[in-house]
Amino acid sequence: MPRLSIEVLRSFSNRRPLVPLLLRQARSVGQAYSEYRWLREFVLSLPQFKNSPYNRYQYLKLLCRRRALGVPLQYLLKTQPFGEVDILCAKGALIPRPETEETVFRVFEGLQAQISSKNIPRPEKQLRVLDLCTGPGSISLLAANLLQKSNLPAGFRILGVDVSEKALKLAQRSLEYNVTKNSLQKTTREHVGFLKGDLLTSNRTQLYEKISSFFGLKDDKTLGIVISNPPYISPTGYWKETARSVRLFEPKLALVPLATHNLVSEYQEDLFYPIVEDVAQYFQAKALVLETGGGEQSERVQAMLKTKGWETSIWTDFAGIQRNVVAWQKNSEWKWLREPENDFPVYQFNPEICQNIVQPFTESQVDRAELFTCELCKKQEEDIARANEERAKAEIEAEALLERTR
Amino acid sequence: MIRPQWVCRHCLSRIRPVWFLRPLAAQNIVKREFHASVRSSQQDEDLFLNESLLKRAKQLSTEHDTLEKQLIESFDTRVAARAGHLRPVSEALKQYEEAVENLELLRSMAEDTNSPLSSMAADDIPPTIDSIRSTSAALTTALVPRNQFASYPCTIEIRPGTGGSEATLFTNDLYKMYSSFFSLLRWQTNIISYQTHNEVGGEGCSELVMTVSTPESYDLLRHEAGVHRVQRVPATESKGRTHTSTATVMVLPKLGEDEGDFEHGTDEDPLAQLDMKEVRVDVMRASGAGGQHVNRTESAIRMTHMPTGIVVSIQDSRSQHKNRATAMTILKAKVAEKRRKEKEEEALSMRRGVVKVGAGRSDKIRTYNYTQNRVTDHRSGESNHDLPRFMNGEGIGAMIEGVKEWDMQRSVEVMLAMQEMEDEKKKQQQQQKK
Repeated sequence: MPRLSIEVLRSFSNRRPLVPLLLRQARSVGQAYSEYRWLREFVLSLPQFKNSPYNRYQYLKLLCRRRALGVPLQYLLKTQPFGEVDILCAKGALIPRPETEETVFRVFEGLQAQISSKNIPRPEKQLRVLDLCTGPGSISLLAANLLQKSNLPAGFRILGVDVSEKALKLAQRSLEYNVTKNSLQKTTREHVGFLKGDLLTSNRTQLYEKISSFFGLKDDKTLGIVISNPPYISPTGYWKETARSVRLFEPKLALVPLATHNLVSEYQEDLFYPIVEDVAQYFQAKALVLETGGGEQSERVQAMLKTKGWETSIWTDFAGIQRNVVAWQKNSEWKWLREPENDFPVYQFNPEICQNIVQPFTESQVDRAELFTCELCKKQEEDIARANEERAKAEIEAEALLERTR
Repeated sequence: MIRPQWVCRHCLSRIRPVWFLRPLAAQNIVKREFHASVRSSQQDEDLFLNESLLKRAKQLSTEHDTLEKQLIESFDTRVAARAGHLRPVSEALKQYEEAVENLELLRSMAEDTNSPLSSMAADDIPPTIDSIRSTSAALTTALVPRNQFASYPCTIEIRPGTGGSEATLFTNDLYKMYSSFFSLLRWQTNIISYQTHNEVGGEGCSELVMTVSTPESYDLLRHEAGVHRVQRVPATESKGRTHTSTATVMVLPKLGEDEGDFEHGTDEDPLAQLDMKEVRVDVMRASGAGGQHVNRTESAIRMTHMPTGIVVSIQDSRSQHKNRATAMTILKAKVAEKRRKEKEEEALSMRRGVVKVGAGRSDKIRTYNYTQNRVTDHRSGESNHDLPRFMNGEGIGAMIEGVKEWDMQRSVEVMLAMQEMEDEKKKQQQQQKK
């Protein structure tokens, strides 16, 4: 991590005295500026400070101080954009992550693309989506947003299940919030539901009954897709790998699977995957999408699913980590989930042109990215410099000419 | 100094070599003077259109006729659109040819002094000449391909050039000027990025990007792209010296995804088509496990168009999804702009045999002189002597119209160059066949 020079810090003290506070968490100038801008926009949009700039500034200062202590920005701003929906964030529920967002887009936009290109027939039955460990309802709400756009003839129904009552209340509020914001249709109130249920109990018949009654299942217990982002961090990884802000402010319940007496496996972080698979088997789901911590965990989950008779594939996320394990029943129409070409692609590029541009876009590069000028702009700057030189020359010549004529 | 003679503008625009026009126009030496109504037959050549221009017009009108025949047999929207574009050309050509025939007839009658009709014919010559002039002008405008993005809304980017903090102050002035101009026109604008810096002399702006959502706005505003120069005593100056600084304005068409049929010469928009395999999308990420392990707020997206090396990086919104969409539109516009430039330059360099085109971004296009209370456009040579009102958005419209006229002449050159290029290619092909 590069240290910031004293000049950089001093330059803030006059213009934006609050930015250095944000630097503690953001760790780069560009990101700190962005966070400051978002906080400022948020405070400006609050009606209670409309006529009192002093209080507004005090509140902004308060927010910046809390951010400096490590409170996630999403908790301070109370929302996190997730695709086209906004998910409400508050203590007691996991903040939706961009990796999950990418997964949901890939599943449901992929489905839409498959239907419109007529690779698979238009589903005649209602599409049923079960979102296990939904947390603040992010997957369910974004899925609803994407499915309402694709105009399925028989409609869709989405159920989010979670053990935390706090998170479920937040999810319900998020739903209402998005309906009033018009990013979700009013009918989603009927199509999307949230249910309290504990997956870790040994006897899940009650939960199964509740799920069947929500979907109106009688004899045919078929679901379309089960999608889940369960807690997947190991107890040791919790202390080693997670960010401090995550440990301090986000619920451990949503991050680390709790070992119970009857369910102890070799890898505690994998605790949820067999259970989710079990639920999917019970409801004869045609497809299963799981988010994992990546790498070896994905491989373990894939091996587990293969022994249970699923066809599986692993998806890579934008950071190149094996983020998702997808599985589908043999010979079902969901076999398009395999498509590897949607993975973060490897590009062929012309090294002569793209010498300095194509570098990994990582944290340490933020400041450089901010100062980055594109080829066109560079050319433009060169042109301007050249024009200036020419102008200077012409002026000198003109002056010389004038003197000569005198 | 050498003072050139007054030359008629119309004559200039017809026959003069290309290099002759621009410096004269830029120095505001060319003034409008109307032709004497009767002219000797020696000057006739000026009256008629350039041969290659006529050839082009004839080609297009024959194409129009064949398309019309096709349409009678079977209707196709694409063919109909193309025919619609060509219709004014063929109509103008017919009128022009009629007028030329009339003139010849009248002249032969007037020469025949024995005939009683000769005096009447002589009287009729001047109006016929006028009509030739007007129809040929109409034909030129019909022939000049409309800018293919003309019907689009646009994005404006203003950035300070040379001149340090004074340049940022001027950039802010330009932004205010344009925004009041748009509000006078009642055009809808949307500011995408407006980065301010508090300078000594007031608010400075280091970058401004805004979109104008009114359709056809690109057609007008594309003439504003270039380097704007300011000459004034800056607020930061203590000794009262005049400084010269610049700001660059970039105007790009805003290409949506759903805009359909394309203008003159192209069936669809070929320039803004990007192969997604050639676009590298980078998402900013922290190193490490990612996922549930971190709750970072980075949402920056960087897109690189591999073949051209154009890079767009956006980190405005908290939503990665939104940033991605913005980056895509900007990238599309930039790539299309670059491709169009390349195409035009290729044609022009072919014609002149010289690579340097001139009117690219490098030249200053306008000077704002505060001490003389004057704004001068270096392309049309027009000046406005009420700077405060100009900076309030009044009078820009008239200035842009002047530039538009100048641009029309330039596009005729481009078109001729294209025509010659095609002809040469055909010749080469024929030679190869032989």
